[in-house]
This record gives sequence, C-alpha cells and structure tokens, in this order.
Amino acid sequence: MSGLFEELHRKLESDTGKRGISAWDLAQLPAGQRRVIRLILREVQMAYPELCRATAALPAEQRLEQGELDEVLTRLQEKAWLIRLGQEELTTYRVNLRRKSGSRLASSIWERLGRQIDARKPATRQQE
Amino acid sequence: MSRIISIHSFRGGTGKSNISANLAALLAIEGRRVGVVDTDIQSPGLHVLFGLDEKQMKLTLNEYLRGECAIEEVAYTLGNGAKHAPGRGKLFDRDIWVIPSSINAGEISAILRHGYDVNRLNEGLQRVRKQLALDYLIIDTHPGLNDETLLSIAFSDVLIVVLRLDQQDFQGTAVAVDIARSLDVPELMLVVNQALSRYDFQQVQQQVTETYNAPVAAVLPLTEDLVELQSSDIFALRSPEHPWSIALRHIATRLLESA
Repeated sequence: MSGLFEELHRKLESDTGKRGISAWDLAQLPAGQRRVIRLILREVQMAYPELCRATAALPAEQRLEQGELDEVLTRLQEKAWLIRLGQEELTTYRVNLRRKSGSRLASSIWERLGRQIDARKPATRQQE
Repeated sequence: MSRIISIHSFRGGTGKSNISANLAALLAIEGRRVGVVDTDIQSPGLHVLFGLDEKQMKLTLNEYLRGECAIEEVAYTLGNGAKHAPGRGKLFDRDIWVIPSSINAGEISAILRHGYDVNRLNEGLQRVRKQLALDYLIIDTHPGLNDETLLSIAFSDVLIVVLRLDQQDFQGTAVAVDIARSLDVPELMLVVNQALSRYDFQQVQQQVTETYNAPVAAVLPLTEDLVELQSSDIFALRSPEHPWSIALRHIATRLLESA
C-alpha cells in the first residue's frame, strides 16, 4: 500500500513541479525575461516599484522600459514562473522555481537502504 | 553590496572544495565577511577543510531544506576549536561562516529520495547573505550540471570554473562555459588546477584563455604538499609562501579589486 502511495505522491510531485521554472528553462528565456528573473531571485521577492527602479538602473543595453517590464511580467506569470502577490502598489513578485524531484528508484530499494542505515546506527554509537 | 561567487567544475576531483575553502579563508583574512556553503548535497566535503565533524554539525543544510530549522542555525563560525590547526587557527577571530551539508547517510538518502524545494534553497542563501551582512557568499557546487548548480550559477556575480589539463575536463568545461554564458553570469573566470610543474604556466594560461575565450585567473600547480595535508587544514593559510597559495592569493586579490 505504501508503495502505491509513494508512486502516486511521486507522480503528483512531478506534475506539480512542472509548474515551476527550472534553471534549464531559465537558460532558454529571452534576455529580458531572464534578467527580471535573475533580479528577483537575488532579492527573493520584489515589489513592482522596486523592479521598475532596478530594471531602469541596468546598463543601457540591458535596460527595460516600463512597458517592456510589464510585458515581461505578464509573459512570466502566464507560464506560472512568476507568482504575483498583493494588489496595486503593494504588488510583489516571486520566482516559482521547480521543485527538485525525488529519485525514480523503486521505493523498495530506498526502504531497504533505510533499514540498513538504521541497523548500523547502534553499532556506530557503541564505537563512539 | 555582497557578491555571490559560485565555484564549479564539470568533473569531480578537480580540487573545487579545496579552492572554495581556501579562497573563502583568504578573503576573510583580508577582513571581509565571508560565508561559504556546501551545495554538493550528494557528496559533501567542505566541512572537513574547516574541521567540522558530525558531532559539531548538529544541523546542516539538509535539515534547513526539510524545513526543520532556520538557515542561520546552520551557519557555523570556527570558534576556539580552530586554534589547533596552524592554518585554520588564523580564522578563529575572523568573520567567516561555514554552511555544511550533512554527512549522515540517512540525511543524504532522504534528500535523494524525496527531492527538495529549490525555492527554499534560494531563499536561504539570499537570507544568510543579508542577515550576516556578508561581503562574499562562496558556493561550492556539485560537479557536472544539475538544477541546483545551474540555479546558483544563474544568480551569481562571479563563476569560477575549475579544470585540470585533461581531455575529459576540456570538453566538460566547454559545456559549463557555454551554459554560464547563456545564463548571463556577469563575470566568468577559469582556474587551472593540478598543473604539472614542468609545464610553462604562462603558456598554459594563454592556451586555455584562447580555447574558451575566457580569462584564466590562475594556474595552480600540482603539489604533494597539498595532497599530504589530506584536507585537514586550510593550506593557503598554513603555507602562505607556497606557490599554490601565492597563485590562489592572486584570485582573491582579483575578486577584491573587482568588487
């Protein structure tokens, strides 16, 4: 039964994970979108006015006008790679990173490994 | 403003953790506030260089990723225990924090089995950078290319790719450099490690620079002295006049100057 549960949990986790952005996705993004993601990643979350200031302060060749920034934010939200929190001036954005998925090895292998690790613990303590 | 430096190699065994620890130590000796984190969760080793053992590391990055503690709780200072090692001893009153990954087999297998929330990893690293007011956060990555490694590269200010003069390293490094460029890392530098002493280091530096069209920050010699130490101390502080240490100091100086 636990095997079936684990299998379903893994599938759910894998499907849910697809909603976040992976570093591989990030490498494929258009430059403007990647720049915005990078800015937010370093701050964890950013309010809209902060984002406007940060993108306006970029070197001239990387700078985003407000319209371009709005377009980027819309595109990233459509893919659920950016999460919008709050309304109007209080709006903040967070990057939705894809969860690191667990192993696809059969659960019985992990259970056996876990039992062996547990069995070794008392012996280790005695040695100490 | 603090800088994030990822230290990476495409293949294992290049001396990446040794370089991470020594570079962190050299920056701390210069009076900077430095954090160094082991994101090589599958095969951690950074803690050894700082003399941390399983008893001292009651909590690690693994427990933080599982939501069992705050990131600040897994940032260890070296304290008086460091005084016993001639190199590390110089760090006991310096502002350096080590964030280790667990060496407990059960903890490693739990992460491999269940995965983890990458958002939490990013939040932790950014939080510790701000809470500890770090000048530098050095990230010792897992070799090769995986999600967490690419993530740390993606938000870094500087990426240092370590390679040896080996055909397998050459090909892998080309991949790592390509990925770094596609992730817009502002500053990329290469470090050649374990170069044979009979080589002309200037020529090596020039050839590697031309091959990857990226600057080579240093060519570090293969040295038995470092191997003999068996990661039991910080070599650059223990033997500061050794050619390996002098070459590494050039990288630290470069980082300090470009800040």
